[in-house]
Amino acid sequence: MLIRDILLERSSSETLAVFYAGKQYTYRALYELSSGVAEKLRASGRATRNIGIYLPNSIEYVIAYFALALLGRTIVPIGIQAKKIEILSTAEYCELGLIITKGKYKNDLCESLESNPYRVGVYDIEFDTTIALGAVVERYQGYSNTFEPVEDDTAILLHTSGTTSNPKRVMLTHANLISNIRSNIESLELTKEERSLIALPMFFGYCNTAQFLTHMFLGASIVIMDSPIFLPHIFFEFIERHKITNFTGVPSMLLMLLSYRNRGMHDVTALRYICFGGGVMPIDKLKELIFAFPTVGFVHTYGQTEASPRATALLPRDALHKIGSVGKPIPGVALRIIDDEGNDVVKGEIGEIILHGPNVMKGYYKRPDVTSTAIIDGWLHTGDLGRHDVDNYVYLTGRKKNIIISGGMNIYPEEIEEVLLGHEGVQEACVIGEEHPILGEVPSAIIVLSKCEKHVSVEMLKDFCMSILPQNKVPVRFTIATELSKTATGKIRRY
Amino acid sequence: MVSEVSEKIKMIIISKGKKEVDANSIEEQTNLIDDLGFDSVQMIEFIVSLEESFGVSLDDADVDLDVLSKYGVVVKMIEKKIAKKV
Repeated sequence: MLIRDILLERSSSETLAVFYAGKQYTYRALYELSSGVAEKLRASGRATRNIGIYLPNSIEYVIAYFALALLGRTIVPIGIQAKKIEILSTAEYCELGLIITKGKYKNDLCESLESNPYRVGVYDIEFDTTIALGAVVERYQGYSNTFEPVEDDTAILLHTSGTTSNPKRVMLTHANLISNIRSNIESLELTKEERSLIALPMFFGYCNTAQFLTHMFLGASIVIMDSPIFLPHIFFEFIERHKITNFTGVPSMLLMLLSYRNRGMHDVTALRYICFGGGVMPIDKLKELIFAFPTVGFVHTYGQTEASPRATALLPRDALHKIGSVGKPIPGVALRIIDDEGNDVVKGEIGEIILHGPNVMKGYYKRPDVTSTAIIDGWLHTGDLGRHDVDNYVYLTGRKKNIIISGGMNIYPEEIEEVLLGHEGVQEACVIGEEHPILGEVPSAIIVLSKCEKHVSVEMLKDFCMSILPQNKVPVRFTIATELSKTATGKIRRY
Repeated sequence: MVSEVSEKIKMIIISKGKKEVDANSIEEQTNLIDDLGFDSVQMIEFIVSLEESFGVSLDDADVDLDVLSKYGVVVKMIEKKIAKKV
């Protein structure tokens, strides 16, 4: 089965597929709109193998997504907070000949692409117009229209790291996504009666598979929150008005719900599940939430983009007596915890979590070197540390990799350090995670300034980062130091 | 009084926002989300600070994004709340 079959199988269904900005779209309408766009893209002659989507959560995102699936192209979502440098490096890395966008995002995109070293088409999905930007060089021509993808072809390229250089995207195949969708449905016993509220970015692996595609596969409905930011009272309004049955969020969203004083005044009886993952959820706060919403089942999940993404789930029946655990592997996913020699650790001991199953990615796009260190003998080495309890429930204990998880998003300190070192006044930089009551962690920078340089202020460094990095990667604090603590081998000591 | 409230709100915006903002650049039409890049967490912190700084309570209607995202509208709303208290 291919991703496009999810829509093709329901192309004449009058069931509600998507609710967005006061409008309802049935599966039939969604099919007609998506196939219309697919035809336009085909006719444009710019439909390269990989095509970008630079759109916020919206009906247009859904239409663009399925248009590319119908065309058999690989979907390359670009986060709308991406700045010029990231857009250009993505276009280059993914060989994009075409990017789909709309409205004010089109203006930002066009401004970024003007200096691109080769031609890139920008398709405005609202007005059905295509313009070509960048130098006159045509590097990527339209791809064969007769291309027929198979299940092991890459369906989507999801961003993991690399804002300015060394971008790294995960190749998820049709088979990866479909297997994870099926596992997710079986694990949560989801039905076509579901109505899922989407507030996470749709390009986020967690939302892409576990919410968006899972519900489309079921023939159920998704409701896309059209608020530019997540606020608790807006969340509850949607839950009540649309009789939402499930929601997926990150811990920071759940903490916001808990801090909302009118939370008891809303009818949440239709809500079966709140799934959450991607960051640390304080146990006392989770308990408080479970007691505050006794009719809602809280599902603590664990996964990573490389695993399509879901790997484990702690179901509501275990939510209290196994609190703090991320549960057990979902159907079809195998999980082991190993020591440095690759042997399984005994129960209770900490080791690295490795995963196996049809959900494990094909690899990192054009990065066989990194792929071979991540997937060994078919097992995905997650870099996450954990342990099993006596009943085989998994508990996360830390990370082997150097990652800051802020509001559910992975931030690699090296990316920020690389940007900082690009400033003429910075000699050395070290970025660490600083605790934050809602976001879990936020990046904080320690800087050693270059000698004999003109005056460099913290404000200047902040502005410099703001001009290159998405907002969530801009350090909240810049501490000027005379030197950085180093290990015996000269590496910066982060902790 | 009016200028005191508006100046205090400017200070709260500057302290909660991530972007370096000059108080003089915040105008009536300044949009906290579009112009200053406020996200959910910053907006919630902003609401809490407004309540604490002015001793007022903001209900769900007050925290409508059309109201809350524009500096000038927030100033008017807080002034009304303070007037009601007196």
